[in-house]
Amino acid sequence: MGGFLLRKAGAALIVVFLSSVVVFVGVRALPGGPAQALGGENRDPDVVKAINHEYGLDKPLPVQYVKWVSHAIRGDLGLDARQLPVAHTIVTRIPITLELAFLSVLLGSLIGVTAGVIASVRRGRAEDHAATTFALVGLSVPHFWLGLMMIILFAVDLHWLPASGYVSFRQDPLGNLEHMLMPAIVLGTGLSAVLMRQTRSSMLTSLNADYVRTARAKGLPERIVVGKHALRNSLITVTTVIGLQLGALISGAVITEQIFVIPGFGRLTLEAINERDYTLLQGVVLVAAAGYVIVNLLVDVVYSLLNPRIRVTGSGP
Amino acid sequence: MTGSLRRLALIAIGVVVVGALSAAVAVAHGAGSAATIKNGGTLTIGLAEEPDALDPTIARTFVGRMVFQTICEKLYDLDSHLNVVPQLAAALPQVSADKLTYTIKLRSGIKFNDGTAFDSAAVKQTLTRYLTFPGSVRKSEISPISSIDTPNATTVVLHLATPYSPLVAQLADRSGMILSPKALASGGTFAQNPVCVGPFMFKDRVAGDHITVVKSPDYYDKSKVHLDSIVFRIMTDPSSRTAALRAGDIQVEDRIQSTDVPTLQKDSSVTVPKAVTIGYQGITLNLGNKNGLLKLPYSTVNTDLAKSQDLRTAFDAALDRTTINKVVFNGLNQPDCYPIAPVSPWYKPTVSGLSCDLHANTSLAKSLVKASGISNPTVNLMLGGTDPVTARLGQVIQSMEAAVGIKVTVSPTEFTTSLNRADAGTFDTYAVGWSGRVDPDGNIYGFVATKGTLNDSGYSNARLDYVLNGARKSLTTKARTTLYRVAMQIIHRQRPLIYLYHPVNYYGVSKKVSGVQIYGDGLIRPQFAGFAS
Amino acid sequence: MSYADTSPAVMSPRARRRRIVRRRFMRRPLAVAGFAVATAFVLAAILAPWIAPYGPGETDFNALLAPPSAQHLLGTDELGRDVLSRIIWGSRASIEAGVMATLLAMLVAVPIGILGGYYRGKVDAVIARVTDVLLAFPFLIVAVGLAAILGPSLTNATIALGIGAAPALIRIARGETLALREEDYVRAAVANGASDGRIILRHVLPNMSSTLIVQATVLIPAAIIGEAVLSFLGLGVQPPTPSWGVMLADAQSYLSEAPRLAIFPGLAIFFCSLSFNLLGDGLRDALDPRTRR
Repeated sequence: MGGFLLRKAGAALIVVFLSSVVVFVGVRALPGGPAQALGGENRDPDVVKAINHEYGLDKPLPVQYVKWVSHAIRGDLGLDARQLPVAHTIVTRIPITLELAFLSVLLGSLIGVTAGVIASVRRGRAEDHAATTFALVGLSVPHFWLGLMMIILFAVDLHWLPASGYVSFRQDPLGNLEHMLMPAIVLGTGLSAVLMRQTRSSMLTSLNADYVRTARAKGLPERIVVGKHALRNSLITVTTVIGLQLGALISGAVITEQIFVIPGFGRLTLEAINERDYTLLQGVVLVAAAGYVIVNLLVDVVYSLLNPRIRVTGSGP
Repeated sequence: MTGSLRRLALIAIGVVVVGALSAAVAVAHGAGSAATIKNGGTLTIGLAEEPDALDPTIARTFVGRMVFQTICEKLYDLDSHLNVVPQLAAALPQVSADKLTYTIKLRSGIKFNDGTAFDSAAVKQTLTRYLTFPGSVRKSEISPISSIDTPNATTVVLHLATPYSPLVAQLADRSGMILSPKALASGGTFAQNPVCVGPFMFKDRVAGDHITVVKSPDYYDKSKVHLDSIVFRIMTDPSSRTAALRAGDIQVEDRIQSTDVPTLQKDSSVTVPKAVTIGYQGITLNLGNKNGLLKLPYSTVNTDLAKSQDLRTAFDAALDRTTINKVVFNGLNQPDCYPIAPVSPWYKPTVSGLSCDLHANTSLAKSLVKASGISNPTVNLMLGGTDPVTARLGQVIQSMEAAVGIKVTVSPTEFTTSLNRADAGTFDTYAVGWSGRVDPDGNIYGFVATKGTLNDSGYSNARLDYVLNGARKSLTTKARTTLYRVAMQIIHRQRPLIYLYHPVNYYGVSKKVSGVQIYGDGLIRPQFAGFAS
Repeated sequence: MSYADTSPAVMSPRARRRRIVRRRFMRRPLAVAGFAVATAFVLAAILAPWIAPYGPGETDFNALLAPPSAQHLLGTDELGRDVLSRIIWGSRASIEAGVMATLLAMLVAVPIGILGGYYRGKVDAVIARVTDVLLAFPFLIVAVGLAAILGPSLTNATIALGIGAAPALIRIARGETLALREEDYVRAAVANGASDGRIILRHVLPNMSSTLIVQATVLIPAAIIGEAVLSFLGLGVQPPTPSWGVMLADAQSYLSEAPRLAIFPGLAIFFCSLSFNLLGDGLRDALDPRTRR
């Protein structure tokens, strides 16, 4: 177990390091350097030169990179174009996206797994068809359009929910949930569709397995047969799927936060790119990549705990 | 009369006088305010963009100025008629006959928001910072200042190298914001905790989310301040900004999008004040910017429009400014052909009477296209933004030009990238605007003077330079207006820029709030507002 | 003279299998429906100039936001353009992006995946790390960044989508190759001294073709939605070329006044991607030896 973890952590570290290089170089490939971004309406050549010097853009690339990384490790991600600390901005805005992601995964898992279990148990019947159709729809619908439709119906027409915006949980817990409900549904739909299919298929496989047939032959109540295996399978499935869908979840969070105007981490990424805010963008993408790798590592650990066979053989390169 | 009777008479007279005075005061007060304002509460304002660094030395956003309204007072300010009036100064400056010396008397007994005293030394330190700080954006706004004297604590004397009429107007904007020497000396980044003189002081900020300011205990006019705090929320999406106003999440909405204005005007819980701004929006044509901004001398670029004056006139004549206003902006903006807005006191003497056709003249345009001798003229229009409204504008222009035989391709470009391209000269035409300055020099010089720092067009006309430099140095308003009138005619004929309209901004204010002022510069002034009781 | 003889007795194993697959596919009404609708969209994209009632950029400033009528079956938008025509013309951007992005991903990812799975060892380790790094960046961020560097256009959006889809496809191709190289006929070919290229082209690639086809039918709808997202954010198609994503972005300002401007383009995206998904599901079931029907 230790060796397995060490190998995985080592690989993760390499990936984070490589990602940081890609981020660093990629950001510099963007047209319009920070001097222009700070430019606004007045573009004095002296101003441009001073800004370049302040950002250290007149030094060679490797020097800039080392300086950036050495600061980043200490938690100092520099100042953005508004002279505000990037680390502070990220730390303040990440929890909002984490809340959105948590609610989406919760909703998506509940709906998806339940539907998948029901569909597998009632295979071929009405419930199965309904659930399968629902999954198909969930996969095909562009979820930003779903968001717009929900805004039209629930906010503009019925006035049941707010159209956009965010209120912090501490300030107003009910308001917070009201603002997060539609975004969570929108973001969780894709996940629930994938989960439903996966759960159904893995349930079907295991329900036909020998040991299940034996259990049934022994006279164990169907509920326990299904329940025990549903639980086991669904945990493994949910973990795997979440790991695979993580990228999609982050992308989805970006556009969901954009439509519902939620000041979270996803929206921050778009803002950073649109404003050509180098420092902010570097910090944001680095944190996103590192976060992704860490979560994947956690998923691997959880998966290996649930599925001992993986630990022993250590699948993967 | 006996002593007691006399005393009674005196008291009676006293009572009558006091009663009359009170009645007069009550009447005046009642006429002035529609409702009595109670003290306390937090006002939430939804801003359309995010302010940049809260340091006047390097700040350049329009919305940043709105935040500064509350926390950083200036030597001078504008009144509702856009005239310059004293704020931290005690009076308008005394100007020497040769216009090279400005003597400014300061108000006394004023404190910065950290309790330190406001005096001429602080003014000198701030202005010096604006002139010398590396990367200072204020430098070009007050560059003619060559030295500053402080004969006593309440007097500042500015010595100029050349006459510079726009100076006082600049001191009524960011260049006149005075920073606390103690805050500057503390060594941190000023923008993270800005301290000036102001009715409110900075409390906290989360990038992309909000800025909070709270009532200042050190302000000299504390009694006029009613609110406990003001929260500026960054709400860049116009539809959700309007939704927030209607839901009561914010009480003031910055710049309502044109499609929401009719809806809000029908909403009985809000008022919709409008500000006819002094800015403009138009199209910059690349005539001579081949190698980049200020890489002189400029030489004609190889595009259809740059080569042919006829084609430029045709391009202008094909545009129907009234229809553009109707289709793109719901008819809410002010179509025009010049950079000075009708609301500016300079408009009448400089622009009124000059030729400006707000409708398209397609037959003239078509004949000019033919006369230009260019077959299949093509123009690329770079848009300074990727939002839907700008996209609409681009498509309407495209459609109108197609009707007269000019093919327009549209390139929606992210704003800062578009500025970069404009400076580098890698554009054909550029749809962009300017928020506007009170002094006409601020709306013209930088863009069309050969040495102008905003001259992306690469336009160079020696006669125009002579006229504009003269206008800067002129001693009388009459001389200036005459010169600017000539300048307008040159620009209108040669068309380095084609002006389309002056933005009219609409704001939303909840009826629960009273005292929010909005003038022609488009800034929201909430500092003395409060909730109606 | 030889002509194709399709009697079962002389059909090659591959042709016979194809026939079986086709038959199994035809038995699934949903899959057939998906195939039909997907074809309809592709045809709409190709035949747009002939079947759309109006041109894609035709404005009518006197009929802004007009409700559905005889002249405009789905009404007009904020510049007076016919919504139905723009939806038909918009299918071009979606189909082009969907198909081209998938093709690009396949052309890039499959060779890399095969190389990694076939040669294993150091080559594979490097490829795996690179794939991990690529996967660490959320697709949307990469797409937005690429569009920002290269400039917004349909081509660049397609490239960004293709690159975004590549890493996952590399893994799949690699996995398939790893499994296939253990097959008997591959080992036999190696023993016989066949060159690597020959083995890959004749034995590995054809046998993963059904997996790849199914993957394609999953990637195409994802790319269609991806193009809509990028255009929605202003990073894809440029005006006056219509795109369903751009139409949705424009519709946001009119959600209360004219919600139909948001409803119709969205339905188009939905049905287009749904049809490819149904097609893909049907193909997967038909190709899968384990399913009974």
